[in-house]
Amino acid sequence: MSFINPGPGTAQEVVLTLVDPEIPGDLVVPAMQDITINNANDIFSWSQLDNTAKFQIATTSTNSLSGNIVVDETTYFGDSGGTAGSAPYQGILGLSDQKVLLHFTINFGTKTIAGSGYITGLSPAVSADAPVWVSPFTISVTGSYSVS
Amino acid sequence: MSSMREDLLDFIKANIVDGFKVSEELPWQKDGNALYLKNFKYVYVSRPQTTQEPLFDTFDGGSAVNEITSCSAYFSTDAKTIPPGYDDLVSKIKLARLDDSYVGAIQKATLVSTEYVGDALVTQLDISYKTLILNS
Repeated sequence: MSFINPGPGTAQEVVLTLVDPEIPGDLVVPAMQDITINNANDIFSWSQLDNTAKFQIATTSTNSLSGNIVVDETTYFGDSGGTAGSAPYQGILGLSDQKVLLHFTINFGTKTIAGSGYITGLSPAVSADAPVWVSPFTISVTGSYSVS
Repeated sequence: MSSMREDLLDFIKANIVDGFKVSEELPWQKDGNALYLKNFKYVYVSRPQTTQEPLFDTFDGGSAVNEITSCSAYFSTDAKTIPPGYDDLVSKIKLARLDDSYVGAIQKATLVSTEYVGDALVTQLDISYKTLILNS
Protein backbone atom coordinates (compact mmCIF):
# COMPACT_ATOMS: atom_id res chain seq x y z
CA MET A 1 0.00 0.00 0.00
CA SER A 2 1.31 3.38 -0.94
CA PHE A 3 0.36 6.12 1.45
CA ILE A 4 0.42 9.75 0.42
CA ASN A 5 2.08 11.74 3.16
CA PRO A 6 2.23 15.42 2.23
CA GLY A 7 4.98 16.36 4.66
CA PRO A 8 6.30 19.90 4.41
CA GLY A 9 9.30 20.15 2.11
CA THR A 10 8.62 16.79 0.47
CA ALA A 11 7.69 16.20 -3.16
CA GLN A 12 4.18 15.38 -2.00
CA GLU A 13 3.66 18.61 -0.07
CA VAL A 14 0.26 20.05 -0.91
CA VAL A 15 0.68 23.12 -3.11
CA LEU A 16 -2.28 25.03 -4.49
CA THR A 17 -1.49 27.41 -7.33
CA LEU A 18 -3.86 29.99 -8.79
CA VAL A 19 -3.43 31.67 -12.16
CA ASP A 20 -5.48 34.28 -13.97
CA PRO A 21 -5.56 32.74 -17.47
CA GLU A 22 -5.60 36.22 -19.01
CA ILE A 23 -2.39 37.40 -17.35
CA PRO A 24 0.54 35.09 -16.49
CA GLY A 25 1.67 34.88 -12.91
CA ASP A 26 1.31 32.10 -10.33
CA LEU A 27 -0.12 32.72 -6.91
CA VAL A 28 0.96 29.89 -4.64
CA VAL A 29 -1.44 29.85 -1.71
CA PRO A 30 0.68 29.76 1.45
CA ALA A 31 -0.08 28.49 4.94
CA MET A 32 -2.93 26.14 4.09
CA GLN A 33 -4.21 24.26 7.09
CA ASP A 34 -6.37 21.75 5.26
CA ILE A 35 -7.98 21.19 1.90
CA THR A 36 -10.82 19.02 0.61
CA ILE A 37 -11.29 18.17 -3.04
CA ASN A 38 -14.99 17.66 -3.64
CA ASN A 39 -16.53 15.79 -6.54
CA ALA A 40 -20.23 15.35 -5.83
CA ASN A 41 -22.36 13.68 -8.46
CA ASP A 42 -26.03 14.45 -8.71
CA ILE A 43 -28.11 11.31 -8.86
CA PHE A 44 -31.36 10.81 -10.74
CA SER A 45 -33.50 8.13 -9.10
CA TRP A 46 -36.59 6.35 -10.25
CA SER A 47 -38.73 3.43 -9.23
CA GLN A 48 -40.20 0.65 -11.30
CA LEU A 49 -43.15 -1.54 -10.54
CA ASP A 50 -41.14 -4.65 -11.31
CA ASN A 51 -38.47 -4.00 -8.68
CA THR A 52 -38.44 -3.25 -4.94
CA ALA A 53 -35.24 -1.25 -5.18
CA LYS A 54 -34.76 2.16 -6.66
CA PHE A 55 -32.78 2.66 -9.81
CA GLN A 56 -30.26 5.46 -10.00
CA ILE A 57 -28.06 7.09 -12.57
CA ALA A 58 -25.35 9.65 -12.03
CA THR A 59 -25.89 12.89 -13.89
CA THR A 60 -23.77 15.98 -13.51
CA SER A 61 -21.31 16.64 -10.75
CA THR A 62 -20.59 19.67 -8.64
CA ASN A 63 -16.89 20.12 -8.11
CA SER A 64 -15.19 22.35 -5.60
CA LEU A 65 -12.10 22.74 -3.47
CA SER A 66 -12.49 23.92 0.08
CA GLY A 67 -10.06 24.51 2.87
CA ASN A 68 -8.66 26.91 5.40
CA ILE A 69 -5.71 29.23 5.20
CA VAL A 70 -3.80 31.34 7.64
CA VAL A 71 -4.03 34.78 6.09
CA ASP A 72 -0.77 35.97 4.60
CA GLU A 73 -1.01 39.71 4.00
CA THR A 74 0.80 39.76 0.67
CA THR A 75 -0.99 36.87 -0.99
CA TYR A 76 -4.36 37.74 0.52
CA PHE A 77 -4.44 41.44 -0.37
CA GLY A 78 -2.18 41.25 -3.39
CA ASP A 79 1.39 42.13 -4.22
CA SER A 80 1.55 45.58 -5.76
CA GLY A 81 4.99 44.71 -7.08
CA GLY A 82 3.63 41.93 -9.27
CA THR A 83 2.46 42.13 -12.88
CA ALA A 84 -0.65 44.30 -12.92
CA GLY A 85 -3.79 42.19 -13.12
CA SER A 86 -2.02 38.89 -12.47
CA ALA A 87 -3.19 36.56 -9.70
CA PRO A 88 -0.34 37.55 -7.34
CA TYR A 89 -1.12 41.21 -8.00
CA GLN A 90 -4.82 40.80 -7.27
CA GLY A 91 -4.39 38.55 -4.28
CA ILE A 92 -6.90 36.01 -3.04
CA LEU A 93 -9.33 38.69 -1.92
CA GLY A 94 -9.05 40.50 -5.23
CA LEU A 95 -9.62 37.32 -7.23
CA SER A 96 -12.76 36.70 -5.17
CA ASP A 97 -13.96 40.28 -5.22
CA GLN A 98 -13.45 40.63 -8.98
CA LYS A 99 -15.00 37.20 -9.60
CA VAL A 100 -12.07 36.15 -11.72
CA LEU A 101 -12.42 32.81 -13.48
CA LEU A 102 -9.07 31.42 -12.50
CA HIS A 103 -7.13 28.31 -13.33
CA PHE A 104 -5.87 26.22 -10.45
CA THR A 105 -3.60 23.26 -9.92
CA ILE A 106 -3.15 21.23 -6.80
CA ASN A 107 -0.80 18.34 -6.39
CA PHE A 108 -2.17 15.16 -4.89
CA GLY A 109 0.75 12.87 -4.20
CA THR A 110 2.49 12.50 -7.55
CA LYS A 111 -0.65 13.55 -9.47
CA THR A 112 -1.77 17.04 -10.35
CA ILE A 113 -5.42 18.02 -10.36
CA ALA A 114 -6.30 21.06 -12.42
CA GLY A 115 -9.44 22.98 -13.23
CA SER A 116 -11.07 26.37 -13.47
CA GLY A 117 -13.27 28.10 -10.95
CA TYR A 118 -14.09 31.03 -8.78
CA ILE A 119 -12.85 31.79 -5.30
CA THR A 120 -15.66 32.22 -2.83
CA GLY A 121 -16.44 31.72 0.83
CA LEU A 122 -13.72 33.94 2.25
CA SER A 123 -14.54 34.88 5.82
CA PRO A 124 -11.41 35.71 7.79
CA ALA A 125 -11.80 35.42 11.53
CA VAL A 126 -9.62 35.90 14.55
CA SER A 127 -10.13 35.40 18.27
CA ALA A 128 -8.30 36.44 21.41
CA ASP A 129 -7.38 32.82 22.12
CA ALA A 130 -6.02 32.28 18.62
CA PRO A 131 -4.87 35.74 17.53
CA VAL A 132 -3.98 34.86 13.97
CA TRP A 133 -6.28 35.60 11.07
CA VAL A 134 -7.60 32.41 9.54
CA SER A 135 -10.05 32.14 6.67
CA PRO A 136 -11.97 29.37 4.97
CA PHE A 137 -12.06 29.43 1.19
CA THR A 138 -13.81 27.59 -1.56
CA ILE A 139 -12.95 27.30 -5.22
CA SER A 140 -16.22 26.65 -6.96
CA VAL A 141 -15.13 24.66 -9.97
CA THR A 142 -16.70 25.11 -13.38
CA GLY A 143 -16.54 21.95 -15.46
CA SER A 144 -14.49 18.86 -14.78
CA TYR A 145 -11.18 18.28 -13.12
CA SER A 146 -8.29 17.15 -15.22
CA VAL A 147 -5.76 14.81 -13.68
CA SER A 148 -2.25 14.49 -14.99
CA MET B 1 16.05 41.19 28.18
CA SER B 2 15.21 40.49 31.81
CA SER B 3 13.68 37.22 32.85
CA MET B 4 10.21 36.86 34.23
CA ARG B 5 11.70 36.09 37.64
CA GLU B 6 13.59 39.38 37.72
CA ASP B 7 10.49 41.27 36.62
CA LEU B 8 8.39 39.56 39.28
CA LEU B 9 10.98 40.20 41.97
CA ASP B 10 11.15 43.87 41.01
CA PHE B 11 7.37 44.11 41.09
CA ILE B 12 7.08 42.48 44.52
CA LYS B 13 9.91 44.62 45.93
CA ALA B 14 8.12 47.72 44.74
CA ASN B 15 4.85 46.59 46.26
CA ILE B 16 5.94 44.82 49.42
CA VAL B 17 3.77 45.30 52.49
CA ASP B 18 5.07 46.30 55.93
CA GLY B 19 6.03 43.24 57.94
CA PHE B 20 7.06 41.22 54.89
CA LYS B 21 10.37 41.06 53.01
CA VAL B 22 11.55 39.81 49.66
CA SER B 23 14.39 37.31 49.28
CA GLU B 24 16.61 37.24 46.22
CA GLU B 25 17.29 33.54 46.81
CA LEU B 26 15.50 30.77 45.01
CA PRO B 27 13.17 28.74 47.22
CA TRP B 28 15.65 25.90 47.50
CA GLN B 29 15.35 23.24 50.17
CA LYS B 30 17.52 22.89 53.24
CA ASP B 31 17.26 19.69 55.25
CA GLY B 32 14.18 18.79 53.24
CA ASN B 33 12.35 22.03 53.92
CA ALA B 34 11.94 24.90 51.52
CA LEU B 35 13.48 28.15 52.65
CA TYR B 36 10.12 29.85 52.88
CA LEU B 37 9.13 27.35 55.59
CA LYS B 38 12.17 28.36 57.59
CA ASN B 39 11.89 32.09 57.03
CA PHE B 40 8.34 33.21 57.67
CA LYS B 41 7.10 36.33 55.93
CA TYR B 42 9.86 36.28 53.31
CA VAL B 43 8.65 36.14 49.72
CA TYR B 44 10.63 33.79 47.46
CA VAL B 45 10.35 33.63 43.70
CA SER B 46 11.16 30.52 41.68
CA ARG B 47 12.63 30.19 38.22
CA PRO B 48 10.14 30.63 35.37
CA GLN B 49 8.65 27.56 33.74
CA THR B 50 7.66 27.41 30.09
CA THR B 51 5.27 25.14 28.25
CA GLN B 52 4.28 25.21 24.60
CA GLU B 53 1.00 24.06 23.10
CA PRO B 54 0.67 23.68 19.33
CA LEU B 55 -2.15 25.84 17.98
CA PHE B 56 -2.08 24.94 14.30
CA ASP B 57 0.18 23.64 11.54
CA THR B 58 0.18 24.34 7.83
CA PHE B 59 1.12 22.24 4.82
CA ASP B 60 4.19 24.34 4.07
CA GLY B 61 5.68 23.79 7.51
CA GLY B 62 4.40 26.93 9.20
CA SER B 63 2.90 26.68 12.64
CA ALA B 64 1.77 28.66 15.63
CA VAL B 65 2.44 27.75 19.21
CA ASN B 66 0.96 29.09 22.40
CA GLU B 67 3.78 29.58 24.88
CA ILE B 68 2.79 29.79 28.53
CA THR B 69 5.41 31.18 30.89
CA SER B 70 4.78 30.99 34.60
CA CYS B 71 6.63 31.99 37.69
CA SER B 72 5.69 31.28 41.29
CA ALA B 73 6.06 33.31 44.45
CA TYR B 74 5.96 31.62 47.85
CA PHE B 75 5.79 32.83 51.40
CA SER B 76 4.85 31.33 54.72
CA THR B 77 3.10 32.81 57.69
CA ASP B 78 1.98 31.54 61.04
CA ALA B 79 -1.13 29.48 60.37
CA LYS B 80 -2.64 30.16 63.77
CA THR B 81 -2.63 33.92 63.45
CA ILE B 82 -2.62 35.44 60.01
CA PRO B 83 -0.39 38.53 60.21
CA PRO B 84 -1.72 41.95 59.33
CA GLY B 85 -1.06 42.85 55.73
CA TYR B 86 -1.45 39.27 54.49
CA ASP B 87 -4.50 39.94 52.33
CA ASP B 88 -2.99 43.19 51.13
CA LEU B 89 0.21 41.41 50.03
CA VAL B 90 -1.70 38.67 48.21
CA SER B 91 -3.79 41.28 46.42
CA LYS B 92 -0.72 43.21 45.38
CA ILE B 93 1.22 40.21 44.10
CA LYS B 94 -1.84 39.12 42.12
CA LEU B 95 -1.51 42.39 40.21
CA ALA B 96 1.93 41.31 38.97
CA ARG B 97 0.17 39.69 36.03
CA LEU B 98 -0.58 43.19 34.74
CA ASP B 99 3.05 44.30 34.84
CA ASP B 100 4.13 46.18 31.72
CA SER B 101 6.92 43.64 31.18
CA TYR B 102 4.52 41.16 29.62
CA VAL B 103 3.83 43.09 26.44
CA GLY B 104 2.07 41.11 23.75
CA ALA B 105 0.64 38.53 26.11
CA ILE B 106 -2.78 37.32 25.05
CA GLN B 107 -3.70 35.99 28.47
CA LYS B 108 -2.45 36.95 31.93
CA ALA B 109 -3.53 35.09 35.03
CA THR B 110 -2.66 34.53 38.67
CA LEU B 111 -3.53 31.39 40.61
CA VAL B 112 -3.43 31.69 44.39
CA SER B 113 -3.29 28.57 46.52
CA THR B 114 -2.57 27.87 50.16
CA GLU B 115 -1.35 24.82 51.99
CA TYR B 116 -0.88 24.01 55.68
CA VAL B 117 2.52 22.58 56.53
CA GLY B 118 2.75 22.04 60.27
CA ASP B 119 2.07 25.37 61.88
CA ALA B 120 2.78 27.26 58.68
CA LEU B 121 0.39 28.56 56.11
CA VAL B 122 2.23 28.42 52.77
CA THR B 123 0.83 30.76 50.17
CA GLN B 124 1.75 30.18 46.54
CA LEU B 125 0.98 32.60 43.74
CA ASP B 126 1.48 31.35 40.19
CA ILE B 127 1.65 34.20 37.71
CA SER B 128 1.42 33.14 34.08
CA TYR B 129 1.06 34.71 30.71
CA LYS B 130 0.47 33.31 27.27
CA THR B 131 2.08 34.53 24.07
CA LEU B 132 1.77 33.34 20.52
CA ILE B 133 4.87 32.21 18.64
CA LEU B 134 4.72 31.96 14.87
CA ASN B 135 7.03 29.48 13.13
CA SER B 136 7.04 30.35 9.46
